[in-house]
Amino acid sequence: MIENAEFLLTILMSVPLLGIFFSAISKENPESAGRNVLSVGILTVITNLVILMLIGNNLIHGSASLQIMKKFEWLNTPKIEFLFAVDTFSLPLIAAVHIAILLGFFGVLNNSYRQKTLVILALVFLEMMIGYLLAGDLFSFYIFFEAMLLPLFLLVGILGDMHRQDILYRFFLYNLLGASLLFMALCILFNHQHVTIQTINTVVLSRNLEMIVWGAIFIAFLSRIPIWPFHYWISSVNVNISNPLVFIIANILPLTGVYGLIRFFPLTAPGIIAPYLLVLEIISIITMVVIALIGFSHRDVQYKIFSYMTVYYILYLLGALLPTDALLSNIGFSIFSWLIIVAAIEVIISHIEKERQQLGLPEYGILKNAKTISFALSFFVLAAVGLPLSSMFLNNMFIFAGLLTYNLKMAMFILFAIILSSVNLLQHLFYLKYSDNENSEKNVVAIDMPSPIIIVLGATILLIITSFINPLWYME
Amino acid sequence: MLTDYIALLPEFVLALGMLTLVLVNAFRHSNTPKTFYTLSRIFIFISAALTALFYNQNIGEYLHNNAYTTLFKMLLYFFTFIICYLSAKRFVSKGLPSFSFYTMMLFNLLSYSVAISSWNVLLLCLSLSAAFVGNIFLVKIEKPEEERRHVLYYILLSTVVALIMLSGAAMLYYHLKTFDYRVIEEFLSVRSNLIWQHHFAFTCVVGGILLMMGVAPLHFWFSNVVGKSILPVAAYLSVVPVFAYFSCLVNVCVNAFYPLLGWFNTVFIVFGILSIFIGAIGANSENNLRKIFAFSGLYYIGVTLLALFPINDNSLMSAFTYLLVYVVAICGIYTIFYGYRSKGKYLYNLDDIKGVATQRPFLSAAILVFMISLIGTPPLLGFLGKLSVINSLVIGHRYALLAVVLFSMLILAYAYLKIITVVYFEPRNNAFDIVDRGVYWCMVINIIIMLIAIINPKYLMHDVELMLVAVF
Amino acid sequence: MAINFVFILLFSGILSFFAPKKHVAYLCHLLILGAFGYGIAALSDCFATPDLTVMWEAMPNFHVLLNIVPVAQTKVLALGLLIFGAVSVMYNITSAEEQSKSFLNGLVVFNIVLLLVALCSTNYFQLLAAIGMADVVVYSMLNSYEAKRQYIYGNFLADFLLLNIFAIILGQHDNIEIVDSGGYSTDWHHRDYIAIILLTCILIKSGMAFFHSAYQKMSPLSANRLNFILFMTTPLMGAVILNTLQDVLDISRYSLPIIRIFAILTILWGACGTFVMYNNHRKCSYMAMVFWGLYFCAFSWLSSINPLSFLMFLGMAYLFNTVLSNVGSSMQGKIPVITMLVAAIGYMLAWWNFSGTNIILAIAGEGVIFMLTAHVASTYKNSTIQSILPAISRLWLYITIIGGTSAVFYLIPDILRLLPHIVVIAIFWCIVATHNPFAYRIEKFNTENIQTGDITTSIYETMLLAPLQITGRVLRLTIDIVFLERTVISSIKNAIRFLIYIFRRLHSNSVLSGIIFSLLGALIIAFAYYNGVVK
Repeated sequence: MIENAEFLLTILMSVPLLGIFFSAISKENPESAGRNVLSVGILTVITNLVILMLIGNNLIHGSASLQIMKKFEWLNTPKIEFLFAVDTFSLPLIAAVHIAILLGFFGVLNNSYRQKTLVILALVFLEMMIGYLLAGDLFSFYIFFEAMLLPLFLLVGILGDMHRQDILYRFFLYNLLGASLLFMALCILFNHQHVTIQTINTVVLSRNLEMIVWGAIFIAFLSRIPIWPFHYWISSVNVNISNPLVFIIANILPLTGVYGLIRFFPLTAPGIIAPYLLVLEIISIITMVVIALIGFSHRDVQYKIFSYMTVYYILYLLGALLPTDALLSNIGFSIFSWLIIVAAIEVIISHIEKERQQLGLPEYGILKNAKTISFALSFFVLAAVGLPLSSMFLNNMFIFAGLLTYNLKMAMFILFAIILSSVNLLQHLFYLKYSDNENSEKNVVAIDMPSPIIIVLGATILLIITSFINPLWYME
Repeated sequence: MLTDYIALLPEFVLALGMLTLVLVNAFRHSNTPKTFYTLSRIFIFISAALTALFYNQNIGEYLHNNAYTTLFKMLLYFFTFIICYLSAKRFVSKGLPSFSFYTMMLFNLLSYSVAISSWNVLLLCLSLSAAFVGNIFLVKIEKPEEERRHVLYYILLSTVVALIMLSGAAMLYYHLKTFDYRVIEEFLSVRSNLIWQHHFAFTCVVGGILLMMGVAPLHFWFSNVVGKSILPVAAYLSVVPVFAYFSCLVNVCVNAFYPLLGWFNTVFIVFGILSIFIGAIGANSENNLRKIFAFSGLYYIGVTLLALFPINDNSLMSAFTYLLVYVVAICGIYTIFYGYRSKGKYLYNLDDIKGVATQRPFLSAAILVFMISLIGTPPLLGFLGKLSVINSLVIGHRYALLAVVLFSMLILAYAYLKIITVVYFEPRNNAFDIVDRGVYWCMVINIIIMLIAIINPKYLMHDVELMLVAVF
Repeated sequence: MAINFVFILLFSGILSFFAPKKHVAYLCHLLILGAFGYGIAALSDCFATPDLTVMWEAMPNFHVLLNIVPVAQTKVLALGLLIFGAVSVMYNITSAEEQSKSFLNGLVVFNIVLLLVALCSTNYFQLLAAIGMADVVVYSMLNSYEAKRQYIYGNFLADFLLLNIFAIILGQHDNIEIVDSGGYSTDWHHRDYIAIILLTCILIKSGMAFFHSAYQKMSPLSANRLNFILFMTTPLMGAVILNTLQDVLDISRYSLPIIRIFAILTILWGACGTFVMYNNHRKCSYMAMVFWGLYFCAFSWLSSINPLSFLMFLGMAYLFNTVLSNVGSSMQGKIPVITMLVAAIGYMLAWWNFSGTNIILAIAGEGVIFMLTAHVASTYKNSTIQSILPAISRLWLYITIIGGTSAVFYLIPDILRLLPHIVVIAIFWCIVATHNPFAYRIEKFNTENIQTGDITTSIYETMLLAPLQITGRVLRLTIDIVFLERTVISSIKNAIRFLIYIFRRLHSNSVLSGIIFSLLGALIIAFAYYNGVVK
């Protein structure tokens, strides 16, 4: 245990800023082809992971309250004090985001198009996510909630192969609307009573105001999650992204919505909006089923991955909305593995696609002669569908238990959507692995993966398995 | 006796400066565009120093100086200096005469300085009208005869506005026999004294100020003038006068016409809402960069108005913060415009700056920072302004206005997104000239100020609050 | 210090799994055989080994006690598993067909360990974890694309259904102990639903009728892999689930009828397949179907299952299939028939012992086994597989067949009483095997559609997958494109365009717009004055 461990939080938030600075001043020439700036990015993330481990060592397992807090006085009028803190729920999420982005960095190892811009914006996004997941007071929560939109917008716009800019605009404005609603709600709450996120349920408002405030908060967080009908342009943005790092970052965004709902409604939803929860649940489940069905019929693997992620995000959302907070740590640990697994799948798939285009190979059966890639992809897909290879396996069982107890009929639809979205991934895996005697003569050109990526994927596999065997290995 | 007027020294220096410029222009033949800039900045510095020195000296019953007036005057000096500095680059690069521009800078400073400190309605109207009419000389700089239709239009408008304001002042004097703020305020406090002529006079004066600010629905002239003027003039008109008008508006409303504000609050709210909507939609309808930001300025003025009224120390603080943040950002934007040049020509169309990020990444990053600050997105300075305004509206339980402000911001953000898209996502079709180092310096200083202000605003805000409440 | 045999097994498995092919392969083989031997000795009470109990921090808010403590009932089964594991490893070592011996042996060890873990489970988590991990192990064993594909689809679904059931139980009763499941029968919700879901899972795992496609697709596998998978892996896991969660099935009155129906269907389907298939490996798959059908019949009609009897039955079925999959046209003469006769006798005896006191069941099962074994013996020469068994492999095969049959003879009580019947059956078997009465009748089934076709998969694709795909496409077209893009978003876009158009028109003429706006401003002021002052 380190005494006065608050400085670790400061370091955690400062390291990406340093990374941004060094990335901006790093020199690039045609020989280095973006390697220098990428090395800075990778080093930044690894440094932060080490710090996270130190923070994890200082956390008290079993305590649900915020630990290791850091305060910062910002304004006197109105009196606003920023609070940053970490607990056993947010720490795995922060770690998962780091590892996902680290995988993304390795996924763009051979990228030469605007590498510097990519790394800088990715680090800016990472910084915003850290701030968001560490935020303990209302304003710092909002600040990072909105601030992360811009690097995402730029990443998607510059590196996302977006041919329809109006879709990008709608995506940004829609998220900005959610952020504005949140801001309005938080200002009202703050002016009624100076509260933190932990004590937000103690605010007493008039009926109409309560409706507006909590409704706005709900909509704000839901705007990040691809709930119908807003799934359309979120999906349109995602399927056009071929850069793996950008895709990963774009699909981390819905996590902010789920996390926000968990933080703001830890136990029960405020009474005023409780009747609308059923409507929300129905719409969420419809979205899950619709997206899973569309993903099943869609040929594009990016859509399949997006549909898989959407289904699981909504699963976690529904788990968070259950009238119990016993599932929070289950959700946190499940998300930890899940996010990393999806990032790994995306990196591998995009590498396969790149190799395929370079070598002019057909996609069908491309992995027949690529044993290493085939093994890695198989592992991650099997882990993604819920086989006992990661902490998702048992933690999801608890979530299902909660949902099935709450409403069996709804839970059946949820399970149907999950099965379908998992089958989507399996479908694509076997599409790539296809092999028959006729094909064995074709595709003799084997695709390969650079050693650094193989090493990182290997380490990720070990981490995933460790998360299954002992999810709390990093705690004393 | 002389010591009673010592506080007029800053204005005297400015007048002297004008005279010097005229004499230099008339009698010195080896003038360069930089000559007038060099002279102007000396007089601006001296005047600013004297303003700070005599910050609480009054000049009889006509001009009152206090922390409030000094704050606005210093801001005027500061931003005027920035505009002058950047404009010098432009005049030098083009080799065009700068006499008119710098003379008018000094003249406007003088007029605004008098107007801000004014404790007399006539003096207020005269000085503001003088500055407004005097802008004719700015507007017509470097415009050939065949392109001066908008100048004629402006002449007509400014004359009409001046006449309206002065007639308002005249009507006030006719009924009250005084121009003094305090006396007017005492007289108007008695309800039984009020007649429709008082309201009319008040409307003329305040309406004139609102038109000069470019508040909707009296905004029709602003975007055309800004869009068609040369870059230094556009920058100046977008950045500097708004402080003067804001301070005069607050001063005259609080100290002279406070009893009449009750019914006029509705006007402020409606004008504010109209400004917000028209500004947001107007910004989306344009392809001229200056017009886009002219309309977006309309949005910010509208929000300032909504936050300001009804006036109290909290609303004043929030409105001022918002306005300051807006001006800092728009100043930054115009700084960037000084860097957007191709083949010696300053670019102002959206199509001309396609893909500029690939060749001028730092400039493009800066414009991005400023525009995001304008949207009010944290963690930039604009968030502080947005926070102040929203907080003020929430404290006043004006939730409907809050919704209007936030919704319109989305419409405005769409316009900014178009610019970001053009700068970052479109393929480049122009080769951009090398940017003057001074532009980068201004840009960096602007960003540093923004960063310092946002990271630790409490000390700055506390001092500003103390200065603002001096108006009450 | 006595080390638990599970650790030794795991260690040997891991070493074999990662061992390079050439250098230390034989050492690994020896180590594995030694580990199995040690395990057999430990379970035979030759020396004491500590019970394996681990507190597993599976989740931050839940700890699970992992038990690998073979109690009396499971000890026999555990012993049997270890013996079969050792036999299978020897088959792999002596086989010429098998290229990745070390890798496969490692997987065999993992599978056996996971079966032990599942057998010894006292809570649902342990059971589920073992089942899931076993699926991954078997998936790794499959080196055929189609087999992998079908296997993982089916078993992923089965595991998910199992997870679903455990989640319901956990949610309702907050208790994961299997031993307490019997007490829930009075107050359970959704009884039929749970029972049907559990049955579906078991049927998929055991490869029963309509769920057997995955195992049919395994015919390209080598003989050893195929037989090990058919008898010692997932289908056996299905039987473990069936036995362990019997109390859960009892909550619904539909469970037993469904098991019986599927068991009979499976036997019929398997028998038909055995008769018509020419490929020996496919015959093996159908024979395995028959075996599991018979097992399910016994489960549903008998009051209890004797572990030792089940082991004998399982062992003989495995051995018979091993003979069947290894004989081919390369083996000439009478030896293959004699070998199969010995195995068949052992098979039938084991069934007779297993079926216990239910005479009808016993006779029906004997009839099925008799006909099938005799038929496959008569047609082995038609096999398309040209297996060339090396001498050592043949030797080991003969040893295991003779040893297995001898063990059956030894372990069945009152075997001497049955000897005359055995002789008679053997004579009739030989007659059927040599004369092949069904040969001409099955000639007409020698078409590609029947020999290589897969009707079950076609049904699934037509009845299940195709409608889902069509639904997905229709939804995308109607919701995403027609409703959202063309209707909602277009309307918003057009509204904004209209606003901008109006705006531009209003601001087009400077003087006129100035007048209009000024008048508007004056109007607003007048209205405010009227409302605020005059009124």
